[in-house]
Amino acid sequence: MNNSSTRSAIAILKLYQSIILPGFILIVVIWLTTRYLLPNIDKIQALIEEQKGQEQKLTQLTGKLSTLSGANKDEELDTLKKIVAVIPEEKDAFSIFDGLDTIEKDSGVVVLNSDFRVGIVSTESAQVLVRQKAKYPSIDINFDLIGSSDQVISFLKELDEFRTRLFGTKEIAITVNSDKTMTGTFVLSAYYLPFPETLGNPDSPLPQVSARQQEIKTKIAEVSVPKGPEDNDAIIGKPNLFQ
Amino acid sequence: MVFSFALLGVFIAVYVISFIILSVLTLRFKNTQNAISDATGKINQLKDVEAILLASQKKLSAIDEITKSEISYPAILKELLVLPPDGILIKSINVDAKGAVKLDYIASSSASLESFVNTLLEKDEIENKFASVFSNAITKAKDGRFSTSVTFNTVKDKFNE
Repeated sequence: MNNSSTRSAIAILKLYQSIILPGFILIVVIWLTTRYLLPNIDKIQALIEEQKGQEQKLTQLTGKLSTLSGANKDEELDTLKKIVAVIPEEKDAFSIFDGLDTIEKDSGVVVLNSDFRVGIVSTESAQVLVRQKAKYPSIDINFDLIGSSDQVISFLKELDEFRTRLFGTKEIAITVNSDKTMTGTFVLSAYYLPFPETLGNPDSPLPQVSARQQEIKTKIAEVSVPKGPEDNDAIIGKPNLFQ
Repeated sequence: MVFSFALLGVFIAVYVISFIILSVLTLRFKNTQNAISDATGKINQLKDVEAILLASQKKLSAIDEITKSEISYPAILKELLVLPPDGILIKSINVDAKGAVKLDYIASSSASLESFVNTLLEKDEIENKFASVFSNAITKAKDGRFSTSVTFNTVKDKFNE
């Protein structure tokens, strides 16, 4: 009985083998495709996308690295010192006096009087105030001067020539005297800007320096005088007191 | 029958190709990641240079903005001083932060007064250096001289060229 049913089953298989076998292979191929091939294709697509992002990041990093490696550290530091002399990181009342003195001497005007309120100088709260109040904080200085028209114009020109600290002119009131000299009352702003507190991530791009900023940088590098250490040539006494 | 075996063959071929592509891409991805960590390490070593460049740029950007926003007082003053024709004596000049000017002056005659006003109008209408020229009350003194003042706005772009 069993033998005859097996034989009949084999006979049926033989009869329909041209349909059953391809059908079985088709099912297996579909299963293999969904189980292995499609996930592989998904992985390839995801990897291609991720690779694009990584390559962009690498390009950015390479560019940044090339800029950083190409920069002459000593030269850049020297220029930064000069830039700091133009716009210091804090109010620095002494550089205001120093700057105005230099401009006064160079232009030939005579400053009759000046006054400004420094306020909070260097406390934590002063830093908070800087962030909250203005983009570029400054101290206003009122002063009177006397000079010829050429001297006054020269004085005004010198204020933003970067030889000293940067001063912005806010207001001028000039009286022309009978002897053609001018007496002027000026309101100036002495700007200052704290250093950035953080550097950012290694992959954050370096800020671009525009053509105008580059021009300013070159000019500052040429004319500004950084606040340097004490004069090394100054006589400070004998190195050995016992000789 | 042949078709089903061919299909199986195609599957195997495509699978092998996908496997090769996946391996190549994985290798490339790992290489890129290595290059990234290498570059990141080198950048970290150059943090001091980055700090210098960043600080310089921030300050340069501030200087750029401040100087751009400034009115060119020397240029305005130069212009105002050569402005008056003969017979006009400037007594005082006031320029505010917005470039608004007030000139107090004395004119020796009505002709010089008219000539000066015409010069100012020319600066407004033809050269576009001044705008909203407004002449205030004119007072005639016993000696025949006229004292008055004029207010106008300066066109910033014309003086910052």
